[in-house]
Amino acid sequence: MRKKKNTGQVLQDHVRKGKRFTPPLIDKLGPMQHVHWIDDLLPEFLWIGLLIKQYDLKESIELCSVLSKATNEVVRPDKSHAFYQISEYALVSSVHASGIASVLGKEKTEKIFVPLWTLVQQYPECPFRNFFSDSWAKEYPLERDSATKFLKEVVDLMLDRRDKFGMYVQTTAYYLGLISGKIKIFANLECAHYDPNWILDYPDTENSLKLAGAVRNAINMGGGIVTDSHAKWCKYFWNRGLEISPCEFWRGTPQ
Amino acid sequence: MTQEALKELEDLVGRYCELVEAELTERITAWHPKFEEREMYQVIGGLLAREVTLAIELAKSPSTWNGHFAPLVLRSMVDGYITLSWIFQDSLARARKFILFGLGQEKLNLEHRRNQLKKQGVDPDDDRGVKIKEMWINSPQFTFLTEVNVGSWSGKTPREMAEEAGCIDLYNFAYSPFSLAMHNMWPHIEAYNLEPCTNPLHGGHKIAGIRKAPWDVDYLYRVAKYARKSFNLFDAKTAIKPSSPSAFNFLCEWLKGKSKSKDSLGKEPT
Repeated sequence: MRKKKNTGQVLQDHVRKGKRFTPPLIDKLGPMQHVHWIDDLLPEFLWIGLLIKQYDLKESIELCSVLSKATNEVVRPDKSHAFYQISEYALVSSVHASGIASVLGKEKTEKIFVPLWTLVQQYPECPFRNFFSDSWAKEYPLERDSATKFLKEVVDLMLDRRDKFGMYVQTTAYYLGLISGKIKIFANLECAHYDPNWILDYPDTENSLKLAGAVRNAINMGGGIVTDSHAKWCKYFWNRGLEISPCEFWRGTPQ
Repeated sequence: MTQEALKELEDLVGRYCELVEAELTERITAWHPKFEEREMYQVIGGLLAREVTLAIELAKSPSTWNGHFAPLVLRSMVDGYITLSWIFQDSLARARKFILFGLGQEKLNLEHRRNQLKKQGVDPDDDRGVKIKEMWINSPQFTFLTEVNVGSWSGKTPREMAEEAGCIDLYNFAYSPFSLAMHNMWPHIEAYNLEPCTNPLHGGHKIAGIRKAPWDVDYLYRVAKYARKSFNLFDAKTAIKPSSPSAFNFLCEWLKGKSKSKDSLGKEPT
């Protein structure tokens, strides 16, 4: 269909094709694959959110980094992994998990996995499950309601990815991607010189906003690569949520 | 609502309906076109009466003064106004076109009904409904001489008609938005028939239901405004100078008495 210049009073920057008005970006770049933060990304980075909520940002970054490194060291996957997404931990068998716990040591293992137990207890198919032996529930008893409450708080904080907490989570994941070599940036790009620490000033400084944009872009690009375990985990996460707690409404249930 | 408030509302609606019907009667009585132009009289007068009917019927039903229902009536009124405006531009020819199109529509409906009866093993010629409908169509013009047009009656879209008739703003700001309710489109359904779940573990899904739509006297104001707009159009095109009191002004005065913000009420709709 021929494109026509749109001479109407509104949508002047759109390209008209028959009865359709196409935004200029779509017209230039063609149809895009959408990456949904809530559907496709939030479930993957929830573990980072749980750690940040439990501890402070600095300590959480350290814990996430050591887990990522230890997992790479023990699992030795064929392709490099940042182990920043939950679905990547589907590669970890029970044998691997024991090895990783040995590398981490008892103290760090507890620090990392006690908050993650709130997730695995409610979501038994979670890829982290092999880290939790049958005795875990006895050693670290967790009241179901308080676990659900903690999970809800963290998911709620992460729903808006542009909010401070959401940006802390994504920047931590971005950092893991950088140190593992999974995320590579050309040296001649401006964002190659961004300091991840700028995020501490988000959203009050120009630098923190620039960094945040680069982080979201990098996270989206990673999220656009859909593996079986990624799709499986994300779908399971949201469907399981519907099972373990009822719907809530502002004004009671709809009539 | 207290008994006192109910009585006040009843009086308001009753008085409004009396006044607006009186305005219609005065205009129709005062307008005497020639016999050879009777189609114009019937179509334009009928459309004007239709606008008033819709206003009265909504006014008499306060339980419908909400976002679920009132937009359906308002959209019909706006559509009627655009049609009226467009017909006025070439009254006799367009009125005749309007009638012929309507006859064709009924002819098509009749053919569908006849087909349906045949499939049920019934002779359509024995069906009372078919006979009555056929008589109705045959009265101005025999069915076998009546053309069926499955396109637009005017040969134009409502938007084009509104543009030609100088009421494109009404199309953009009333016809289109109310069409969302009329055609049960997503923006209407999302606002009125889906309740967002606030459980974070549910990822922002929505549950189907009937959301409470607050009762709003603004919908009464709007139907009165569109009825008034139709009267103003009629008066301008026919040069009739009616003297009956304005139902719209009566309503505005009552609302001004209740409202803190009085500036926007009572302005004559153009």
